[in-house]
Amino acid sequence: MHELSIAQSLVELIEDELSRRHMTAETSDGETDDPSMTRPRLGRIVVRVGELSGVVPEALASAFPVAIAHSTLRGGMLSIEPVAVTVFCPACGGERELPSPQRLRCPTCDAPTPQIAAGRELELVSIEVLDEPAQPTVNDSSPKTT
Amino acid sequence: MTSSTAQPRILEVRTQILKKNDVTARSMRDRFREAGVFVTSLVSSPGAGKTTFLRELLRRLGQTQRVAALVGDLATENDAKRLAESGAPVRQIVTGTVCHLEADMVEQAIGDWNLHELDHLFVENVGNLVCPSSYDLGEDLRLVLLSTTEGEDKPLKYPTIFNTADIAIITKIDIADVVGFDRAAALASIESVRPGMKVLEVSAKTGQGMEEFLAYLGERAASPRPVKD
Repeated sequence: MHELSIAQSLVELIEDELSRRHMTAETSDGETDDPSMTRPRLGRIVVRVGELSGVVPEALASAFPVAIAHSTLRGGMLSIEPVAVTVFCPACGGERELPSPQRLRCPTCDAPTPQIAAGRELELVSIEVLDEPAQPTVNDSSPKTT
Repeated sequence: MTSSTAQPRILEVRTQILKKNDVTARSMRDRFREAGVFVTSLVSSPGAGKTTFLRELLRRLGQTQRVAALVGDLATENDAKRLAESGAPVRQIVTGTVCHLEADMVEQAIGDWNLHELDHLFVENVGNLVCPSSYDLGEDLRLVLLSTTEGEDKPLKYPTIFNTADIAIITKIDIADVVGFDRAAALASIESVRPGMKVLEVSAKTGQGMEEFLAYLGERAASPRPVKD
């Protein structure tokens, strides 16, 4: 099971993306203050997981709360969009979605279809930010959301 | 500093979750090409015969080429010791609880090795048919090994790893009859998950198929690889 590794990479990527957008608050001496006070609270985190990505959506869904609990992020609910395998059929000349990655053959004409057009995705699509950090002085008695 | 906003915002990202690994793998691939070393990785279930196959490969190829190997294992250094019997330089990567190799582990293991002094570098992954499939290690060629003692339908159970590999190697072919290996069923499974995939049958013990594999490897190493601009 490597979904915890994947979840950790996902959490790091979210942190990087927020930093890149200057959405992490730092005190003037460069040190991060209490993260619960300075980090934005997150809502829906949308990811796309292809059937040929090597990642099991259910396992990633279970691992994500563990990874996020060990990070500086607040909130965050994982929403996984599964991506079916789509192949290019050289005989029909079109893209076809497959019912299963176990048989790479065109569902219409049964030609072998080794060329994969979609289904390898393992990507972070979007991050919902519910509220952005206020000044660290703002009183907030219950920063953790459930 | 922004103050609290009432409206939720959606940040569009569209980035690979394993971006960090991919960036490291790409930079290593550039480094390997610049140094002129051809890098082959091996994946399989535990016990499929990666180490025995690789030891025999290093022994044979080492007679004419400069070879080295990295080997990933969860806890022990036994595989590195076995590979070192071939006479090639070998380094162990102990992954601890991590069930696969990642690009930065390979980069760290290479360390101070002078890649210009190598023709071939082999990277043996941790025995696992699931997790290694997600991680690019910067290799030029990925072998997936399947032994005659495993179920012939294994490719159907692990289609992703077969889809990320370049060639399937059926190992322990010398005992195929004894263990009742159904060759046609195994080939059909591979063809189903990866139409047109090249398959070679080998026995590291008797040497069957080894020269054929070396010829294939030589061909792949000599053919021009796509170069990034």
